[in-house]
Amino acid sequence: MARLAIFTERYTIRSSVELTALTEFRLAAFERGHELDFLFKNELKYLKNYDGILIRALTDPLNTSYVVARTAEMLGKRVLDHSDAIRVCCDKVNMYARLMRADVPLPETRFLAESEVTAVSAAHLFEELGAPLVLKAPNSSFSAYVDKVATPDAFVKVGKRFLRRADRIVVQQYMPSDFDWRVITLAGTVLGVVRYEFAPNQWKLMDRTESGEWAKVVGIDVADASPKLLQVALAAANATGESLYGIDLKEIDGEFYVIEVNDNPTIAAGEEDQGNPGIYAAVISHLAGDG
Amino acid sequence: MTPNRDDPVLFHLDRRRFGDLAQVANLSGDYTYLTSGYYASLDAELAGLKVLPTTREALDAYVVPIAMEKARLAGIAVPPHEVVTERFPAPPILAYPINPFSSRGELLLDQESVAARRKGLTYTGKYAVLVQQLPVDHRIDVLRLVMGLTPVPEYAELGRLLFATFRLPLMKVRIVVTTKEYLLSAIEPLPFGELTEEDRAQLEGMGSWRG
Repeated sequence: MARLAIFTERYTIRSSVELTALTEFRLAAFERGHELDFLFKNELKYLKNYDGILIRALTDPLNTSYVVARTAEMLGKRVLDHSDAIRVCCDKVNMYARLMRADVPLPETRFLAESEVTAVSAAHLFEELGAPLVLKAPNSSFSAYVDKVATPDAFVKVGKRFLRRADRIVVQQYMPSDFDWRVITLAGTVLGVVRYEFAPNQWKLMDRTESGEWAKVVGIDVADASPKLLQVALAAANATGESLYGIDLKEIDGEFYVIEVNDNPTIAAGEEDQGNPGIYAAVISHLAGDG
Repeated sequence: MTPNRDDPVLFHLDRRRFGDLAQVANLSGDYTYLTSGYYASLDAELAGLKVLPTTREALDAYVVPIAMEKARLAGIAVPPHEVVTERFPAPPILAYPINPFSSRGELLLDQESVAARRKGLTYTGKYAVLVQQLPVDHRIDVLRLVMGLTPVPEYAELGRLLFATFRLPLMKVRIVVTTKEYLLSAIEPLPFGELTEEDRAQLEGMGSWRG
């Protein structure tokens, strides 16, 4: 029997399907004979009472979630997300640099420091990587601070705006598609696969059309997923660490390109768990150290 | 000694003196998350260099609740502290916000200041704050450490211990001095440009700007 806790925050539970997922985690724990409490940020002094902690809250190295991860590690507890995962995935410079180092296929990616965000370097990059280009602030989440630019002027204007958030920005080749693959992995194992189908004529997951259409989440049985998709996703996960990840990929002419590795991937009831009902039990067993 | 570029640079540590501690020290002095100083450490890590500090160590030192736990485990005394959102303990207190927007500590000496600042510090309860309780009778010292060294004899031992634990080549350390002991309150940036001649002299014989 393990004593587990889910660290969560009121304001990060954005929907009832995420709340339902939290109770699914708890049911999975109870069914395996473990205890599971919810822990909020003013209760951190009780972290020491638990064997394993699952973070289901907005992560950032400067948020309480990172304090939870690091404290748990220093106290010798099992924790998801690992602090390394939060530190790497919340900073796109760190994340993409690791993927590039491991030769994971991804859109052409460059990092620019402040002195390099100029119309001249923008013109070079358009020539080299094509137009439009995608600019990303390192610490963007939910596709905020991610913009498409098509001219050197727009490049510099958006780039300077993003530099208010960090001393580097990410420049990426644009890869259009109607959907993203999302592969959820834990310690080198695939736990689930879904397709995020964008709202019509949108290019970012969190965008919706004027009539209010959101992206759709379509569950896929892992056994039916392309082996190449899983192989590229696992290569991306392994380049990043051994934590719980959600890897976003684009499929172009039968090839897969990693768009992002996310720590703390969304697991919402009726969405990410559709084709993969065992996802809750897998996470709980990992945290509890079940053999 | 001066760096060979304007940017934060890597100082190559003398192997005979530092052994396996690290190959290079990032002397930017400001290792704040996502700044050029932070990225200098990240670049070194990704290049496979053993660097002081690593990005993990930078955050461990600057995120005050993590620093408190790390210090406690290393036997460094810290003030009584807790993470709160609504209920603040009785003043005098030092309050460090835990959020991506501000980390500046605030000294709140009386109930009126606590009432006035509670909502601002927590963004109306949205983010947490690490609160340290101080004895009424206290003084706050700011210690400057260059590779753990300080010219102030009373801080020589604590300086060595702080460097061994947190591994930041340059740090400004806020210490709460009580009638009985020295308590670590927080570690803050000490940008290279703020070093005095005396501070820089501490680096003599420790290594070189070129490997």
